[in-house]
Amino acid sequence: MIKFFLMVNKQGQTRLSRYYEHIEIHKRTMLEAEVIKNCLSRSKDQCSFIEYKDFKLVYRQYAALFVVVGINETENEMAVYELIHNFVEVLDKYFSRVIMFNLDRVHIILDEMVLNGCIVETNPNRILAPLFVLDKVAEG
Amino acid sequence: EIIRRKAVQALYKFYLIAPNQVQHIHDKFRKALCDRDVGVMAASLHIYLEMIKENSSGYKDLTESFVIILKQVVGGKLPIDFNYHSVPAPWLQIQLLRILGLLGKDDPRTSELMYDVLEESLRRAEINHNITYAILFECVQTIYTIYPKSELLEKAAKCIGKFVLSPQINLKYLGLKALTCVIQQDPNLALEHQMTIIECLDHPDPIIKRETLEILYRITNGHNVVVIVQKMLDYLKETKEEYAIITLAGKIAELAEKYPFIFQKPFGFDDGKEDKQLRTYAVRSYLALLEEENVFYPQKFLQVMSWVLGEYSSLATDVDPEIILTRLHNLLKKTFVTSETKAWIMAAVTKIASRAASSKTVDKLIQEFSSSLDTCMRQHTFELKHLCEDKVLMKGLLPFDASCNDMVVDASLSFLDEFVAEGLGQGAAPYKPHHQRQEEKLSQEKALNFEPYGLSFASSVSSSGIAGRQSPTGLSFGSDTSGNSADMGHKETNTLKLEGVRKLWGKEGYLPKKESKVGKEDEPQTVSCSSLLAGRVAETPVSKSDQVSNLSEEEKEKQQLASTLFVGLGSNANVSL
Repeated sequence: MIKFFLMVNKQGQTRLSRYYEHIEIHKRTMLEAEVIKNCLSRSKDQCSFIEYKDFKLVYRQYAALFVVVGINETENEMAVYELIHNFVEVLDKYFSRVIMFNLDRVHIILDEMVLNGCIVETNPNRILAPLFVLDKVAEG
Repeated sequence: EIIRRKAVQALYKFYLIAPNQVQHIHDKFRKALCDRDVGVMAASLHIYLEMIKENSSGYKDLTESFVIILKQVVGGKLPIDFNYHSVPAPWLQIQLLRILGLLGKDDPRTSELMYDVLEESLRRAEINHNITYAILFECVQTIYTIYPKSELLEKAAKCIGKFVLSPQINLKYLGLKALTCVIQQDPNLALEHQMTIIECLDHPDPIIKRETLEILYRITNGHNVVVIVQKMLDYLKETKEEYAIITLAGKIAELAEKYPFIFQKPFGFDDGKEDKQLRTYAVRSYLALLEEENVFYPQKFLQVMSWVLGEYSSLATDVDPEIILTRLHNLLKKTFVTSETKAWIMAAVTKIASRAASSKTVDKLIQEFSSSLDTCMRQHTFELKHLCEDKVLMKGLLPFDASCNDMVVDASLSFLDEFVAEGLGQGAAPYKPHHQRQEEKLSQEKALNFEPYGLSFASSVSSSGIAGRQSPTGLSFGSDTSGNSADMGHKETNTLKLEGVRKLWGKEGYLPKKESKVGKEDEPQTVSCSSLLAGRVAETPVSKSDQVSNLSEEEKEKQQLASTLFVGLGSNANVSL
C-alpha cells in the first residue's frame, strides 16, 4: 500500500504532497523534512529504495525534482519505481513542459492513478481522458 | 467505461470500511471481473485481492478466471495503449500474480493450474527493462509461495542469481530481497551466491548492507551465529538511525535467546562471583556517567541506568546511597526526561530507599513530587511515602535481585476479595466497568427535555394532592419501589422525561442500583417535579444504609478503586502480601 506521494525540489521544499493514510499536520512536516534529508544525502550509485522507520521510501530524481513515494512492505519496490516514471511520463504528455503552474491538474492526474494507496490506472490515455473533457468544458 | 471503473473503485472503498455491508454486492464484483473493459476488471482485482487475503479458500474457483486473464495479458491481447514500454499492462500482471500467489499457497491442485502461466510470464519478461524486472520479482515471489514445482523453482533461482550479480544497484537490492524471502525454503541458494553476499556486506550503501544482514539473520544456525552477531554489532556501531538500531538490537536479542552460548565466552554467567563483578562495574560506570552535567542521554539508556542502579547499587559498598539518590533526584528534575523514564527512576529510588535507613534526599523528593502535576509521578510518590513508613514491608516487597527470581504476581488481586465482599455487604455499589458507566452517562444526557412546560401545572398540582394521600400506603422504606418513579414518569409528557434514565431517585431518596428490582404495581398518578422534591426532603432522616447509598455513584467507585490500590499500605493486618 502506498502511504504517501511527495514531490520535492532540491532545496527541500515540498511541491506536492498526497497522503493515503491519516497523519497529523505537524507530523507531516517533520516527516517530509526527514525524508527529504534522507533522499538528498544519497549519491547517484546508491540504491533508490531506502528503509526509513518501519516503511520504505522509493525515490527518483528528475533534474531538480525528487519524487518520493512511501510504501509498506507488501508493495513491489520496482513496480513503484516504475510507477513514478509512468507518472512523470503522463505529466510530460499533458503539460509538455511547464509542470508547476497547474498544480490542481497534477493532483487530478495523481488521483486518477493512485487511489486508496493502490495503483488503479496506468494507461496514459485513460488517465488523461477526464482531463481533456474538463479542458473542453472549461474552454466552451 | 471510465465511470464504471470508478464505481468499482468506490465499492472497493466501501468494502475496506465496512466489509459486512457489501455482502449483497458480491455478484456485482463478479460481473465486474468479467467485464469487457480492462479498466473495470483491473479495479475489481483490488477488491478481490483484499477478499482473498482474508479468506483464500472461498475464491479458489476463480483461479481459472485469473489464470485466463493473466494469459491474455501476457499474450498481448490487450489494446495497444495499455502497453508501458512494450510490456503489456505490467501493474496488472503484478496484481494478478499476487492474487495467484495467495490462492495457490499450500494448495497443490490450485497451484497446478498456475504453473503454465507462470512459466509463460517468466519467459516473456526477458526484456531488459526495470519494469520487467519488477514482474520477474513478483513471479519469483509467487513461485515460492505456492506449492513448489522443481522446474519453476530452478528458473526462479536462476532469475534471482541474475539479479544479485547485476551491477545495477537496484537490481541487487531486489535480488537480495528475493533471497530473504526464499532463503528459508532453499538455503542452497545462499551457498551459491555466498561470495556476492560477502561482498555486499561491505558495500558502501547502508541499505544493501542492511538487506544482507537480514539474509544472514535468516540463515543463522548454531555454527555461524557468533560471526553473524559480530557483523550485526559492527553495523550497529556505524549506524545512527534510531529505528534501525532498535530493530537490529531486537534481532540480536532474539538470537541471544535462541543461542545463549554466544555470550558465555566473555562473561561466564554460571560463576556467581563474576556476576557480582559485572554488576558492580556497571553501577560504578553509570554513576560516573551521571556525574557529568549538561549531558543528554537517550531515554532508553537512562532507563537502563536507573534500573541497574536500583537493583545493584548496594553491591557498591563504598558508595553512599545518598549520592546515588541525589544523582537520581537531579535526573528527575531535568526536563528532557520523559515521564516513562521518570517512572523507571522512581522505581530505582524506591528500591534504594528500601535498603537504606531514612534518607533526607528521599524525604525531599517526596515533598517535591507529591504535588506534581503528573498523576503517575504523584502515584509513585505516594507509594514511596507510604512504603517508607514501614521499612519491613518495603524490604519484603522489593527483595534483592528480584529480577532473577520468579515472582508470582496475583493479577486478579484475589487477596482483596474479602475486602470487596465486606464493602458490598455494607451497601456499596458493585464496581461498574468503564463501558457501562459510559453508557449510563450517555443515557442520562438523553433525558434533557427540550419541550417547554405546558399548562398542566394546575392539573399536576391536583394530582400531587392525590399522590400525597395515597403515598403513605404506596411507600415502603425499602428500595423496591424504584419502579414507581420511572413508570410514573412515562404518564405525563410535560414533566421530566424519565425513559432510559437509571432509577436513582425515588420518593424515598437515593436508590442504589444493586437493589433496584422491578417495582410494585403501577400507581396511576403522575409525579411532578414538586412532589418528587417533596418526597426527597421528607426522607432525609433515613436509615444508615440509605445514607451510605446517598453518595454519588462515581465517588463510591473512586473510593473503591483507591482502597484496592492502597490496601497494602494501610491495613496490613487484614491483608497478607
